This record gives sequence, structure tokens and C-alpha cells, in this order.
Amino acid sequence: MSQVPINTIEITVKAASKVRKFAENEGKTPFALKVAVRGGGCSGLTYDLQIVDTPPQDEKIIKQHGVEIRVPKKSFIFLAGTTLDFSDGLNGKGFLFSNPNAKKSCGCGTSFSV
Amino acid sequence: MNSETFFVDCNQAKFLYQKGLDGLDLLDRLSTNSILSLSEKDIKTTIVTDEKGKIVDILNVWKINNEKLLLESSTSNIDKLVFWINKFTIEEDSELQKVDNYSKISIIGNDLQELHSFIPDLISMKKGNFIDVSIKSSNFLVGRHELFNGSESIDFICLDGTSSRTELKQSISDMNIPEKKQEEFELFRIKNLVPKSGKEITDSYNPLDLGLERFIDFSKGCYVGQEVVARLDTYKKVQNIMHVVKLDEIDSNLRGTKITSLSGEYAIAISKKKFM
Repeated sequence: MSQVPINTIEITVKAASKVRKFAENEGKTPFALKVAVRGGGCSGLTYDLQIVDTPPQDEKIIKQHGVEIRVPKKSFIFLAGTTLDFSDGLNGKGFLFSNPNAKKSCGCGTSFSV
Repeated sequence: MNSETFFVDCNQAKFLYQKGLDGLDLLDRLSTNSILSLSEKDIKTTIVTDEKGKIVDILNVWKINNEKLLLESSTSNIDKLVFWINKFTIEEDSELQKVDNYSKISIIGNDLQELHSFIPDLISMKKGNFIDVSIKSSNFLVGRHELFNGSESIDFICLDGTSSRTELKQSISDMNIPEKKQEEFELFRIKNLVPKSGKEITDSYNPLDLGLERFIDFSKGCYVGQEVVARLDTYKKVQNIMHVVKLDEIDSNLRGTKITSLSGEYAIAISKKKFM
């Protein structure tokens, strides 16, 4: 996977397709994918994904593969350069974060530390 | 367990409010017990641990409403707790506010007949609940809770400063419930193996070292320190054990034993399990 510039985050085609499907199931049109970081979790910081249909607030907006991604400014510090992918199948792990800022991740993959 | 009934002025208790819609959720991701299911007027004890599973603080969470929690910490740990929660507050709607004029009095024991006539609502109150009570125009939160060794207590949080606390102590004394002064309570605490913040409850130990399993929900999911605590439990790797020792009978073979509290001839000691 090529390196993502640190002034943005990227979403793969597969992940974008899954996000669109989730938004459709939730009946949210138009929608945006909010990608944020919350405190806590086994490694100290936890990824948080939400489908939202509200106007943007103080967020960085990135559009890719038909998905508008919104990242709150405080969270962007921890997410710059991240790629969001999706792993499916019987042993799939769902949405996967490849985060160059993460020094350590927990087993479940939803928590990390910097 | 001593069956006498007495009250104690818990002058080590320190309080802070956690305000905001995300407060409970944040605290749940930082501590060992499952607190997300708390309803209004519930109390629960949870332990905030660091990345190594060591104790940052043990606290009682009093849920006032969905946007307001009263956190009961201690003199020795409150600053560390505030630093720790603030460190992990990123996008969350959560704000901490220290409260200096609250204090706590606990009644410990089973003979509560007089107290029931003083506060009738206590009869039907379940363990882990609290109510708002007004006594002689002063306001209190009164909860049925427990000490850190599991024995039951009735806790009064005095919301109106020193004078209300003095009046409450007089009212309890009038019910023929005696007060245990700090030195007497220290001896009671040691004999009944109740760990105390700043003594046993420090960042030198994890919750399992101190027998605090009842405040850990092993199925709740992620919190800071969870992987370490879960692994210690699963693989039976807890290194230490807390126990009461009588000093004139101490076994000279108890290598690696640390005396953490002392009162008269009794002490709480924490030993390496491998030497026991």
C-alpha cells in the first residue's frame, strides 16, 4: 500500500462501498462518514466511526470514492496519514485502520496508542 | 467480620463532578467495572487503571443524571485521577469540576433500626442506590453501598459544608450509634482487610493484588489496562496477596513482604504469593 500524505486520510474502494451500504441501510441520504478518536480502550485511544447526516462542524472534510469523510480537528492530529480499509469474509475484521501514528494497537484493532 | 454498628467520618474522601453527555462513556473506557448501565440514583465502584494494569484510583460513581456524575475519590489520588481523565478527554463532552465542601460519613454494621426510623426510605432502598435527603434544612445524598472489602455501609454525602456534617454526626450519635475515631477505624479497617487509598491502593499494585475482583467486569470489553488485568486473571499470574498480620507472630520466612498499614499490633501486609 502506498504511503498516504500526512495532510489527509484515505479510504479504499472496498471500505467506501461498505460505508455506502451502511448509509443506505440506515436510510441516510445524503450522508457523511465521521471518523474520530475517543479516549480510553485497552491501548488508550479508540477509533470511532459514525454515519451522519447533519451539517459539518469544525471538521476536516475529505471526499474520496463517493464518500465524504469528516474528521474533527482534534482527532485529525491522531489520524493524519491513515488508510481506512475493510476486511470481510468469515475471519474478516470489519473496518481496519492503518495508522502511521499508532505505536501500539490492541488485539481487537479498535484501540491504539501514539 | 465485626458485627458492631458504628459511624466514621471519612475525611479522606474527596469529590468531583464529571459533567457532560460523554462522561459515563469515557469513564467506562478507562475503568474496570461496567458502569454504562447505571441508572439515575445508582452508585457503583470502579477502578481506573493505567496501561500496565496498575491502579490510578478506585472511585465510587454516583450517577446524578445523564449529564452529571459525582465521583468519590480520595485525598491521595484525586489529582492523579483528574490528570488521567483529562489526558484521555479528546472529543468527548466531559468536564471535571472539583468540589471542596462535600464530605462523607459512613455507618457500618447491621443494627440499623434507629436509622430506619430516622430515614424511612432506607428500608426499601436496595444496595447500590441512593436518595436525596434533607435533614434539619441541610442536604445530603444517602446511599446503601459497601466498603472495598464488600461489607455494607450507609453513606452520607454532606452537600452543605462543615456545619451540616457536625449536625449529622450529632444526630447519628443521638441514635446511640457510636463514632469510631480515625485510629480506631484504622484498626477495624486493617483487621477486616479493607484496602485504603494511599496505603494499599497505589500505583504499585493492580486490582487483583488487592483482592478487588468484585469491581472488575471481565466481560465488559476494552478499557485502559484491560489486556493486562485479563491476562493476569486468565493465566493465574497475580503475583501478590494482601493479608492481615499480627506483628509478634510474623513469619520470618515471609520474604518480599511489604507492610502497607500499621495500627497497634496489627498490620496489612502485601506478600509475594510465591513465598507464601
